[in-house]
Amino acid sequence: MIRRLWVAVMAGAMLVAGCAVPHPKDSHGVTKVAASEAEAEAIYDRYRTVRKSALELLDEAPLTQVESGAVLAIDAGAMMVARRLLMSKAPDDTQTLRILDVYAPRLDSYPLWFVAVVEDGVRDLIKVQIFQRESSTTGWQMVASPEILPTTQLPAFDLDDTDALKPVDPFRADGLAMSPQAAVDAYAATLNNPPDAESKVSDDSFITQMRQVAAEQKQVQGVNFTQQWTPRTVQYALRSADGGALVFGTLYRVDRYEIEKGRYINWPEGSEQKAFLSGRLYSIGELRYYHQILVYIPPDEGLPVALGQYGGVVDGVGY
Amino acid sequence: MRRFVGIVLIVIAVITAIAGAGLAILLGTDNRTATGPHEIETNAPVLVTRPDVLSWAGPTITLTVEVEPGQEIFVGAANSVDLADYVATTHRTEVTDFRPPWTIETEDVVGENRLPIAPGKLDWWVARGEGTGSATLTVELPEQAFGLAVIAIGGGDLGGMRVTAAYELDGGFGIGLGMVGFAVGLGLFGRIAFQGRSMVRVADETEDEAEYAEEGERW
Repeated sequence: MIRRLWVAVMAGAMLVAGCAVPHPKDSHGVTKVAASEAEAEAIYDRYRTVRKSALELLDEAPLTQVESGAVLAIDAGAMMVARRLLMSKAPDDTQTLRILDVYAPRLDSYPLWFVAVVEDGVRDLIKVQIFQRESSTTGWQMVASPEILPTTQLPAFDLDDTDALKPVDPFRADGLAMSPQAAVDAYAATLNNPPDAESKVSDDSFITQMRQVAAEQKQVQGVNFTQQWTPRTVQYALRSADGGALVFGTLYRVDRYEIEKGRYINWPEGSEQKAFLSGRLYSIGELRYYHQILVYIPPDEGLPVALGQYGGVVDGVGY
Repeated sequence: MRRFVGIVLIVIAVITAIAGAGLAILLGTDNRTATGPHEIETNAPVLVTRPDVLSWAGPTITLTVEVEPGQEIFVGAANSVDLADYVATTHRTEVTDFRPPWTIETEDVVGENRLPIAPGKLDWWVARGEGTGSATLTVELPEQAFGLAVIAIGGGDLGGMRVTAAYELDGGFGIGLGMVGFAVGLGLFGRIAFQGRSMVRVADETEDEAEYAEEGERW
């Protein structure tokens, strides 16, 4: 009896060993998870190196290797301000950035992208950044970098059975209070409207802060100040574990100063306005900004709320 | 019923034994079998496999590609998403079907006669090999959607291409022998079931009584 049992056990063991034979692939089709944690670390190491070099030179040219879109425009603008104002210290040059988490969706075509949650120990901020690879022949570039306070609770991301992020179609409101694009559009509409107008988004700190800035500019005597917000097309949105969505939106802001005849504006030394609009302005001045916002859309009902933002002046004209 | 089960077990055992012996003989003690060289007709600068062609994971394959002497070539393996994007606009021959040991179907796709960037400059190859006149690549077929590419570098095309493929299965020889061993065990069970014998031997009653009697005397 024991001998027969031994034969059966050995045969079973050999059968188990046989499981290592060629087998059909997993059922995820033609897809790719953009980057593993190790790959993301390597990508971020390169980003740190190039950014450090750009900051030391106060030259945005190297940044074009590792940044793109609104982030590049914002950082290039900050460097231009530092360069023109001959600031002794470049912006953000004391950052110590540490990746806390990496999340990547499973995608079937380029562009590939992933989310890196990064701790900025010096500025005591959390950056929720997106790195994108536009095509198989280009490098990884940062395309979004909204910042949140460490006290802000970032919703847990919804992951599939391979721990991949679940992207959300920017133009569909599946199970959401509104689509990601509609939420960003609503932010722009709210900021364009007077404070007492009806709004489809929360009256959050981003709205409050931007309205405060606009109110201060309007107080300048002899100047007609207007501010215009325009939403950009949403590219990145992902599902949160509670069924809501996190949206990476971009808003374009134009501050316009129309100066009454006989008056002029001379911006304070050291201000970003001075960097872009040097000398006296006698007629018109215009400053353009990008603001990247991280918006949480709750499931079903409720108002979208901005959890964080990253923005700055990118261009200016005046005479 | 027991006879039927016995027959089924014996049939399975015979099939398993044949398959195991075949695997062990095919792979040999180096766990490897090769086929080729096989000619592939193409005048394109690129040859790629479609994503669904290599639909199995596990084995290690070694490809040795030979082209005209003096022609530089690159052989690479990568995720199909990367590969499809890379060659999307390039004139290429696509392998649309493959059955081992070596039966393939191909299709020509028109496009530009050059790639957007040299393959050696890309970081997403899982495995790669380069050479002049020939190049070799060894890669374990992964779980992800996966493709192989042969690329003529520095102009030119893949005319006169010949491919030798070697399949390697770690422990394949042992697995084959294991299957034979398993088949032997299974066959024994089948034989026992077929003969209608009990799996547990029941002691003879008269023998038992005699043993008790002997023990009783000792007490």
